[in-house]
Amino acid sequence: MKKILSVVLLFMITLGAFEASAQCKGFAKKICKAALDPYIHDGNFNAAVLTEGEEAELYKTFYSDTEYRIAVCGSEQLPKIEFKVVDANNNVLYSNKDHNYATTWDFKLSSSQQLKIVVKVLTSTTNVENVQSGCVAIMFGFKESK
Amino acid sequence: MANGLGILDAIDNKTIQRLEENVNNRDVIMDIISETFMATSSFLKENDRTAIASIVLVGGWIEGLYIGTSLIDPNNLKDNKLVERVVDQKLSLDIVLKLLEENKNNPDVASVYVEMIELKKVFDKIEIKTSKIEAVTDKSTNVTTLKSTSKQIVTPEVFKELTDKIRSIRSNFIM
Repeated sequence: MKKILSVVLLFMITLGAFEASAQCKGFAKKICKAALDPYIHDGNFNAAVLTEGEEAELYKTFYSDTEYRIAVCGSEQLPKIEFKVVDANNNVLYSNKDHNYATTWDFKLSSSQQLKIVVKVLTSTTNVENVQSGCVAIMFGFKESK
Repeated sequence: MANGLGILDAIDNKTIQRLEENVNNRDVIMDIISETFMATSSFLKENDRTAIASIVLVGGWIEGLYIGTSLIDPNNLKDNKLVERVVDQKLSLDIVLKLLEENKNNPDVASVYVEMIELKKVFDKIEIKTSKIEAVTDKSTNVTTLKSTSKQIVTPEVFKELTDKIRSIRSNFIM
């Protein structure tokens, strides 16, 4: 009974600017979800169309005794995507900028926390006419911590 | 229930059969729940029923809290992982409220919102003290641990109040 319960309570509720359009959800499902393996996808497709230089954020509660993977991916035409994980006091706990813009990050917590994930599409050009837009997805996977 | 919500199209018989066949396999159950959650949530959003999607999400969350609190003796809270996990839900409550706020023009959502505000009043009586977080990466596994200590302060009386409030909200959901 308790095992099932922990599954139910693990359903982390997210909130942010990510409201998946049908187009971006398909992208997230086809491209981004595979990056979560061997973690179990939490069932949320957080995806949105972003333009170069644009930033979006979402909030999510992460629990102790669980290991997580965050996967961030963007459409091919977009430049690199920066993502950082920030705590309730705005301290940056991780930034993929320090890790060659890695697209995944694996972590666990010794106590449960609500964290903010901020993603930003970098700018590749100064020419306004060439600014690109595309889908950006943030996906979460989890597994029981050993 | 799925029929009543009009989401049967998002849940096929194969899924139900797979769930029945793997009732003792936690990983498979997690996978099935994740997939089903994704399918129903997408189905509702694509059909312009985001208000229902938010109620379904909150309903599932309340059900988890109901089962959890039902298994806990309020007079025996010490060193109980389940108590810890129930109290952790305080962290998600603001997200729940913001989610409902987005659809508050729907009368059903508005009514759930009022109940969540009541629930917040009880959760606010519980204190969670957390130390500064330190990120430490294990080079061999490449997994980072966010190290911090956390102390939850909850009395048996407040936990009982929380249990009663959750029970009452759950009753309104299933009526």
